[in-house]
Amino acid sequence: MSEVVTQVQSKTQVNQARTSTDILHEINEIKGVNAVVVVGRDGFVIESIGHMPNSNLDVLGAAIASAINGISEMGAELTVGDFTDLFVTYKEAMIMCFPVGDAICGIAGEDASALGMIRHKTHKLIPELELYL
Amino acid sequence: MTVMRDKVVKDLVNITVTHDQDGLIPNFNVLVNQLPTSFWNTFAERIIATCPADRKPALEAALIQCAYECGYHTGYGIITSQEFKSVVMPMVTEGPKDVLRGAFAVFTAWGWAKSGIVQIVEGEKMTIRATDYYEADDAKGSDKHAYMIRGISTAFFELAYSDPYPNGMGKFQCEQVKGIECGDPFGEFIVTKK
Repeated sequence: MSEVVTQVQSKTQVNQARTSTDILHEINEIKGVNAVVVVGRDGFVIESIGHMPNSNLDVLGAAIASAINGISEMGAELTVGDFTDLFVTYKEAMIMCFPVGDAICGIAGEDASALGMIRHKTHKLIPELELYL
Repeated sequence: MTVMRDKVVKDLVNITVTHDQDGLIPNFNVLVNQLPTSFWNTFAERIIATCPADRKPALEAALIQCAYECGYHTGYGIITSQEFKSVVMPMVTEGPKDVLRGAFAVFTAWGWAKSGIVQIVEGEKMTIRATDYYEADDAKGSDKHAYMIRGISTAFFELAYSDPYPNGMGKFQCEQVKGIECGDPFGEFIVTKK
């Protein structure tokens, strides 16, 4: 199915000025970002862009959903409301997550050095992304 | 906890299925068969190609209806099957929404469409995306023709939110708004009330 037609310009793409794909591209262009995924709470990768050097984005999506479900349960247990933001660093990656409606936007980068810039630039884009899902 | 589709898909693809002497596979509380996707695509392509232009909308509606009726009854068999109860139901914590997530995971595991839920307004509306589906194989034109996903999505939503089986049919409809077969990066399907 990967050989499916990609050359044909879709009417739907022509008609819409801006799409979730555009916003994902914009996030992925921020310095320090390697990949962006929008994933459902069940781990279904709704949309993704970019790459992770040591994994693939389906695995990233499933892992993010699993982690966020655990974190949401913790929030409910502690009666501290819904999850609003998650940031975690590893030796070879950093991952940020934000709720996007019922879904989750996960952003993966190499390290936390560009964290401030990523946070600043995604601040406006995440609410916009929600509008297009 | 909610239904984790990755686990569902991995568990289901490990189930060994064997057909009986009639070529039917008794699994998931239903009888299924295994045919090449090219068979179904060729069938749809040829029947549409031979149809007069003025009757094409009616033919497309009929193809959707076939998938819808099959999806409604087969879908009920699936979600009430022992396999579904043992693999999916332990993870269901959000009621019908989770059952739907499980149903689309089964849909994916069976190779019909790598698809899942983007959004649900419970009992009102559902958006589905499919990033890989057999109806987009060998795509040649600019028409959206994922009839099977349209019918099945409607059926699953009715099983979740309409009147209890078998009285819940005819309440919802599904529109395909994007399609890999016409150049979009994914197929998108919106189920709404009729």
